[in-house]
Amino acid sequence: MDLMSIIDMVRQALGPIFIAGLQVTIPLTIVSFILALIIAGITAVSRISNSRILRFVFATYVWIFRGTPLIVQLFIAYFGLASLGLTLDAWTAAVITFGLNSGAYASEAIRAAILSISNGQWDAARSLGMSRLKILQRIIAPQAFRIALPPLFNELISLVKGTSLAASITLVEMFLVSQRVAARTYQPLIMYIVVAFFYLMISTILVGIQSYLEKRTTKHVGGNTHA
Amino acid sequence: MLSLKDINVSFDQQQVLKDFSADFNENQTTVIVGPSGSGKSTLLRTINLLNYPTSGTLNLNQTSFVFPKQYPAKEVSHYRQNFGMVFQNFELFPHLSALGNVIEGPIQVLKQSKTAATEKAKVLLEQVGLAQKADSFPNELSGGQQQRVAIARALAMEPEFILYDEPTSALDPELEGEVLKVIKDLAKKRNSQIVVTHNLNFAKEIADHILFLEDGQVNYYGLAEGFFSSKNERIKNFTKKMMS
Ligand SMILES: Nc1ncnc2c1ncn2[C@@H]1O[C@H](COP(=O)(O)OP(=O)(O)O)[C@@H](O)[C@H]1O
Ligand SMILES: [Mg+2]
Repeated sequence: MDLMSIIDMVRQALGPIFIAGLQVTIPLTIVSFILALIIAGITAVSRISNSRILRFVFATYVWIFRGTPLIVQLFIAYFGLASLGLTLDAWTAAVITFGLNSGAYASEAIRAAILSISNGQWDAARSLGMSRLKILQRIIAPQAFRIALPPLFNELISLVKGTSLAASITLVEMFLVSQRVAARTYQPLIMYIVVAFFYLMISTILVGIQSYLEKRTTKHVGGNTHA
Repeated sequence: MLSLKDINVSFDQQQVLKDFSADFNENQTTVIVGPSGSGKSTLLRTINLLNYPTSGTLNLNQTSFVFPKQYPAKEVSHYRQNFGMVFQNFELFPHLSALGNVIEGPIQVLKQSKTAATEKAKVLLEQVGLAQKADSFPNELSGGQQQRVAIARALAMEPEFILYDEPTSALDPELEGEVLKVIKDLAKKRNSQIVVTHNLNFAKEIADHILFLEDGQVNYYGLAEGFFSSKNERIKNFTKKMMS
């Protein structure tokens, strides 16, 4: 097999994989991650609340979703629930599963960030007469956001890669497309390298966004990197 | 008048304030002195309900708390608006500018308009000598400047009392004066202040009353002159040690 035909094959594979990335992998990641952040925020705040019940419920959620394989969670959501008559389409099952799974990890990052803010900040805000919710929103969240940023981006990057598991519940995302092209062309090595390259590109862009955000938010909070 | 009666505060097994009773008058500066660990910070924090007493009563004007009853968070937050608190480590909000720190409470808690709060904050920053630093962030300010912003932040809420917990003990000696001067000016204007300090010379300058706390109990509470001229051995030992 000569170089020209390899190049030709790669070129033919690029289009479909790229489209799958644009139409499925990226939107799936974004929607799932937004869901994950909402769940994570609620979970983190509940886990530092005074309510035992809330703390227990959300700790249990984190325990389950961190303690079981993502692919098993996907199978339960897609195949398992269907057997109970609760049929989710692959896209919905994937968004819910990724949202809950990432949410569990992200909640730990956010919780740790909140806990790392000194009690003195709480005291200062309390002494102004601010309510707990106001303090979280106005004083703690902006500082915690900065601290949680790196672990949250870790989570986002592993989510991007994790979306490839959705291939196993028939969602036609980048990895499934590459599998199909590989089967058709009998070139698994080349095709899987191509799809790996796509994931690498997305991750690289995310790393860039991360360092941009870090530079913007580090100015006055934490760290000592201000100019 | 702020009135504490038979207040007990404990941490775990350790009782820090023991049947503490004292009244604090408005338009006066009361200085609290005492050895390390005697409960001075705990007392200030208890006044502001940052610590919760196990028993006793707390009265401020018409408001009254009887412990160990638990009060709704809203009621406690509302009560705290009566006090401005200045901490040893400043505790400015690092993500907000000096001005942002000062207008935060008035806007978020007192629901003032941003324009009104900003206008007033500028006057206060001017008053503490930091008009030029309104847009600086805490990490761009010296310790003395940060503490002066913290005082402006407390004043912006127009509290009944300002509580200071060793406001200059985290500062280099050469920065102490600028903060002490602000507190002294406020004392002269007859603001209601309660100041915890180790600096007895400063206490002498500003105090109307001195409260000498030892082991969670009041050892002396009365006019400042009386404290510094006291024949009581414990007081004499303490002042001798602190002034040397
Ligand atoms: N949050 C806390 N948890 C446990 N012990 C505390 C706490 N705050 C204060 N204490 C204890 O209470 C005692 C009095 O402390 P504090 O009020 O800070 O004294 P002071 O300000 O006079 O030095 C000390 O023995 C201290 O260890
Ligand atoms: Mg203290």
